[in-house]
Amino acid sequence: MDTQPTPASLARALAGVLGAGEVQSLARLTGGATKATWSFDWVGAQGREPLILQQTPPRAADLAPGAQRPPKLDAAQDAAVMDAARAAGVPAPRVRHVLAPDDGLGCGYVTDRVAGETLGRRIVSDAAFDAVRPALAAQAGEILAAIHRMPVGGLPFLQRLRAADELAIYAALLRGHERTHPALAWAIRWIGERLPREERAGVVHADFRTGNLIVDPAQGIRCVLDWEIARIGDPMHDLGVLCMRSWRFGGAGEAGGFGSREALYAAYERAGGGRVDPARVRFWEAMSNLKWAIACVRRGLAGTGGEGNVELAAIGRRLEEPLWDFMTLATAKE
Amino acid sequence: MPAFLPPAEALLASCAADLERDVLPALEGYARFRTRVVINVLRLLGRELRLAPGADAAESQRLRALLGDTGEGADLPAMRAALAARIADGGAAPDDPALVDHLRRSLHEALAIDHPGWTGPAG
Repeated sequence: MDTQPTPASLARALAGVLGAGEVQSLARLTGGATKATWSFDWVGAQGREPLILQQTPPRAADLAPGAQRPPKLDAAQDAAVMDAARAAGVPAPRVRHVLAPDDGLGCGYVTDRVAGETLGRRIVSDAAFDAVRPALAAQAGEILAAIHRMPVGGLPFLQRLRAADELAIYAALLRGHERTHPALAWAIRWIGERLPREERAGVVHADFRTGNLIVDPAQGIRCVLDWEIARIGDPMHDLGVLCMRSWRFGGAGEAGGFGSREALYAAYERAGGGRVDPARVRFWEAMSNLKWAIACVRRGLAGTGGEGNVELAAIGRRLEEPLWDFMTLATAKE
Repeated sequence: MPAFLPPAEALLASCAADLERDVLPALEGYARFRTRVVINVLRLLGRELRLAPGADAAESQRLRALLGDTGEGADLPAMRAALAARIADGGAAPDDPALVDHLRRSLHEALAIDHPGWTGPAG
């Protein structure tokens, strides 16, 4: 990859915003099947600052012309959403620089690096988080309420997506694969027959889940990451994503693997997020399982085409997990 | 398959054990993570060699019963596609207990290969 950062290239890119300084301890972090995340320290006039470089690949032109695409913010839009979130009291990353073409590092941005844990398995089961874990569901509810109240005036690029739009967009990504997998076809039909009539509209993060939250053993949730698929939609969507079993990492709590739905819902309502409709949360949880299943198909195909990428390819074999969970949700007694 | 010695399943198990024992400890960071993924894939392929024939046979038998005449003489991918098309086109009632049972069993058989334990209570 010719946009791979070196301490020198990164220092050049940052000199304009941070002044004279040096990049130290540059290292690629684990994880991130669709993008590259780098950790480094900036040592300048203000001393040592821990920072993150997030590089996002350019979008592949892989859809029929004219098809509506899933939301995917570019780096500048992503940064604008994170700035707006911080202004609304949401703990989002503080953006220091959006990469420009002259930087030679591709697309992406540099943010402050927030100390804490993102690995889901540790957050839901490591003893270091035992003390803070009971507080996480309520914190998540409060943060989601703040996200859903964010003013959207400065964010005109956010797509308005109703459930029907989501189904149409994501099912189209399968390009015929649903016709070879009966459980996928079943999930698409089930969702299509249950699209909610009532939908509020607010900023929806759409990937608010364990793994995308930086958690501190003492303070709890310190930062919400990965805003690039944010949209305007039904706030119940975010509550459904957080409750998916795929993101509980073996934890017992149905909310994020760390807490109860009741604690999440109660804190959300207390914080002014509005009334929680548990049935509509379940709908979005099922919908989010379907979307994750579709993403698994696409990553599996992407990982086995071209040069091969085992991380993407292996995700293809996770397809049955969300489909199994979908059927559990869909066939549960009301 | 020729009379290979060692057979594929044993080779895959040996590769996974070797990587895990001798290579993984020498790695860190992103390379360690990728190698862990490779080890998991090798073990998955071992389970596939062992379990896929039985899963295919069971799924085929259920599909023939569900599809009736449509399934006559069709291979497994064709029967899957026929059932998926019936579901998508409305020909199959989505709440038909035999259909739901088939879909759940098929996912269960696939998960025994791809992610054993996912169908258990703890996930």
